[in-house]
Amino acid sequence: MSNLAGKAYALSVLSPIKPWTTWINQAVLLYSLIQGRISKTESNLKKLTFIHYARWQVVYRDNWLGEPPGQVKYNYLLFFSNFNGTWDQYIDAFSDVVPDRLNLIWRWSVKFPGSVPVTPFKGYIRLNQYDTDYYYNAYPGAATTDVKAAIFLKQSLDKFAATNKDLDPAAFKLAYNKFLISIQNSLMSTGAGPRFTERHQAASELKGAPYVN
Amino acid sequence: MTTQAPVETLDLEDIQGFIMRSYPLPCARYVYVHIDDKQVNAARSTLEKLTELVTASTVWPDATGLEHALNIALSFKGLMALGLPTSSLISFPSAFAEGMARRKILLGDEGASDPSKWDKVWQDSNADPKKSIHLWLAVFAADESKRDSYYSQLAKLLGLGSGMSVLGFEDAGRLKDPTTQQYVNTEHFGYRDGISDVEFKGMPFPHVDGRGKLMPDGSWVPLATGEFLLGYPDESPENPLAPIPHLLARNGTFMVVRKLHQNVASFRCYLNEQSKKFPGGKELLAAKFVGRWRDGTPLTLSPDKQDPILADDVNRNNSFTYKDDRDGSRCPMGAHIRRMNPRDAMLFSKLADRRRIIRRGLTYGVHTPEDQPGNDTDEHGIMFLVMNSNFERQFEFVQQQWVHYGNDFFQGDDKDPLLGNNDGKGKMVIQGDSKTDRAPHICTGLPSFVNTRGGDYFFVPSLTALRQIALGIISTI
Amino acid sequence: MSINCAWLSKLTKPINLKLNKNGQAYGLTVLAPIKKGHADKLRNTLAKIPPVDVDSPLANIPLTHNARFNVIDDLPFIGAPALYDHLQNQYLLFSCVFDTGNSNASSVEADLDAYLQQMFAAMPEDITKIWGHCVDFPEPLTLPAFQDFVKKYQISGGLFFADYPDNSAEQVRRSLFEQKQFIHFAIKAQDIKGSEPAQLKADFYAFYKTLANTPTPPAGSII
Repeated sequence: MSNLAGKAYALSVLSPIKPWTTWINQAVLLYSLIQGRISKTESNLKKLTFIHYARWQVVYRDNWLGEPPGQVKYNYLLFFSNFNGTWDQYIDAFSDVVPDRLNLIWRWSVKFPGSVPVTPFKGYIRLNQYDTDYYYNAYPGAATTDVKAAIFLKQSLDKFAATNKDLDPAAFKLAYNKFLISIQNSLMSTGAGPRFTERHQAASELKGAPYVN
Repeated sequence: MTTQAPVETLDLEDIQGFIMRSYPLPCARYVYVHIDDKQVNAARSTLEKLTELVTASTVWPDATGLEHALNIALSFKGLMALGLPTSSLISFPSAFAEGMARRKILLGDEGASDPSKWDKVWQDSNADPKKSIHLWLAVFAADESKRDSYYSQLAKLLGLGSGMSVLGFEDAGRLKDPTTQQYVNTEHFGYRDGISDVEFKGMPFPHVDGRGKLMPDGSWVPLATGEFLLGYPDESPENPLAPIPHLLARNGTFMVVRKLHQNVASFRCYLNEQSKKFPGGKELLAAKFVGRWRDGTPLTLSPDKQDPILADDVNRNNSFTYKDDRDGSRCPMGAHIRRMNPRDAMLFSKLADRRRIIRRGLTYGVHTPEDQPGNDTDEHGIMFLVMNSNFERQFEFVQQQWVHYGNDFFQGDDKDPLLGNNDGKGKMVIQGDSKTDRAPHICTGLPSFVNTRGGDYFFVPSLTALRQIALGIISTI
Repeated sequence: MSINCAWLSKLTKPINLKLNKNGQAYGLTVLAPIKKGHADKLRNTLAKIPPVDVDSPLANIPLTHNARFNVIDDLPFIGAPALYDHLQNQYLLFSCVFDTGNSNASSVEADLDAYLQQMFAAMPEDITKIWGHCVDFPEPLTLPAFQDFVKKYQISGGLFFADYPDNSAEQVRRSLFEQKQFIHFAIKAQDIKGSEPAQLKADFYAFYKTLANTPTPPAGSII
């Protein structure tokens, strides 16, 4: 079992929702969709840049194929997240920065204590969290911030290389300096990342790429 | 919105004085004491006598006339040796119970900083139950002779029949110029130290901008008391996780003791070599590492030159944000002070409010004048103290995520240039400036300028808690 | 950020709108019952998949961004006055994000088929080793049978957050690789004195050409 793959943590949570309030929960998910579209650039979740992918889904009582009718009494809100950092850091940030959004999504869950203060919230998540039996990450050396910076850098690099071929060397040097400034906050090192335990360290032993000489 | 219970005043007579602020006393002696658990009654009675000497926060706001001070902290093993009930012991945080050496991977204490390379007194403490450091005593004094005479009184208390024995001690204090014997205002790398005090509710000091937390309207207010003292609401807001019973925890805090050796020659050599490539020159490079010029002037406020008037003004030298320095063109994104206290560097200053720590440092060893290359081998460094109410959320987080990692500042795996365990492979991007077309500069091959040489996690009880531990009446029933 | 949501309005019975995509990224969730008495064996199988990502069988499917398996032993009980929910079966929950290369909502069926086809080709033995512990796993395993098996247990809809929904895993790895290479170049170039712009330009284009001809490290590598 490991909830970690490189710099990413896999959080999986199932929390019960009363069947007769599930439609509200679905409406909230829709509302979040619309709001997310309207205020794309304002989204605090995006500004946090530590979630690669996250998903909220409703698992209905009859989605548990193989259970006799009436066996499962609640619907469940299934929450997946692929985030960077520690479990505590993630829940803290949610509680600190997007508490209203979280309350809106989870308040339909049975006995949800609210996202503030953080300790009861953490207790609720822990109680409903399922540890990951196996987790795979296609780019374990990169946090969300690194991914977005790298995409930006590559696009800028290709553009720079294509547009400055014909400059004389002095002008090229100036253009290169301007280019460096434009990508200066995309020059972070990527790799094994912060250390947690010896096992995690062993699993993230560098299998890196050689440099171009 | 939830509101926070106001804490207007604190029981200053119950809170150990060194938590609030550094005393205006330049000399210190840190004493490492072992408790003989077969003589627990004697040890408790000694603890009671020591407690009566402990300096409380009532000395503040000025501590004028103070000639010496004493403060006490206990390790987890110390609490065990004093016979705290198991029900109370297991209520302490696991990080505290494990101690600093066992947190080495998380803290980056590897290679030359590995606990197997620590000073003997700390190695013994981790390896030999008969040499465990149970009690940490700090003696502060106005000069060396006052320190020595005060210590000799204490040493008598800790003598035969006390149930305690002194395993060793270390002296620290402000640096002196070896020729003039005048105090200098810096640590071994030449930076002015002790500028960034924390401000929390109930502190007996006038408000100073830049020390507490930043509000959305740009004002500064004190942080919640519970971030630093147990038993009060924190920034969540809730009462911080604390051991039971309540009176054991209340008015106490948790402390990190870290002996940080400074590789003076490596630092000076790197600075000299790298500044040949760095267009701004040596002093600017030194400033870029830290985010302050060596005289303490913040780069964010004065990017081009030292400003002695600003540096000396306590109302201004720590009062700034990164609002107008988002891209790091003044204070680099990965500079030391931007990592230790990011203020609004992460867009959400709330994220920084939960990671604040009280930092205290006193140098040890002999000052090497700036015109000399110095060496790495002599005993010189900083006795670093951190206080917080939660090791994991505060100190360990800062150490793991901000000193030895930089994702929150768009620095990926790049570490703190000064404190990071860089091991010759460190990299730091010094951002350029789009307004002047100054190109960024990348420092590579950064060595570890600092190595950990010892330390542990301690509990700093209130005076009430110390007395109740000494009386053996702590109970969770 | 963009968010995609399929909302389901009925009280108890979902309407499957199959809107599982955000941009070109597809979120797949599969909840399959485990054969009686097989959960511990399945858990052991999952525990023995190589922990280093580059050695994972999933690294053989370059479309995958991430994937996880959770064995669900039972439903959580959060204490009275909540009802006590108990499952008669244990379940294998599989969740992954993969690339479809298009943002077309109407092609979700084909997108999933294409991904499962790659998975089937890349790790047929692992599919059997893992899902073989689940009820109604097709034997012998054929591609259409595997596709039907996954779809039978798929959970669709919901709110899907993606920070870079338009970038494929391959693009992400390529970008990370080029970022690393460029930093290395920039460090070397910094030491070329300002008086040598011709050298800088020549070095840059030589680097850029070499970079273009250097393959991306495999999926799952730490870059």
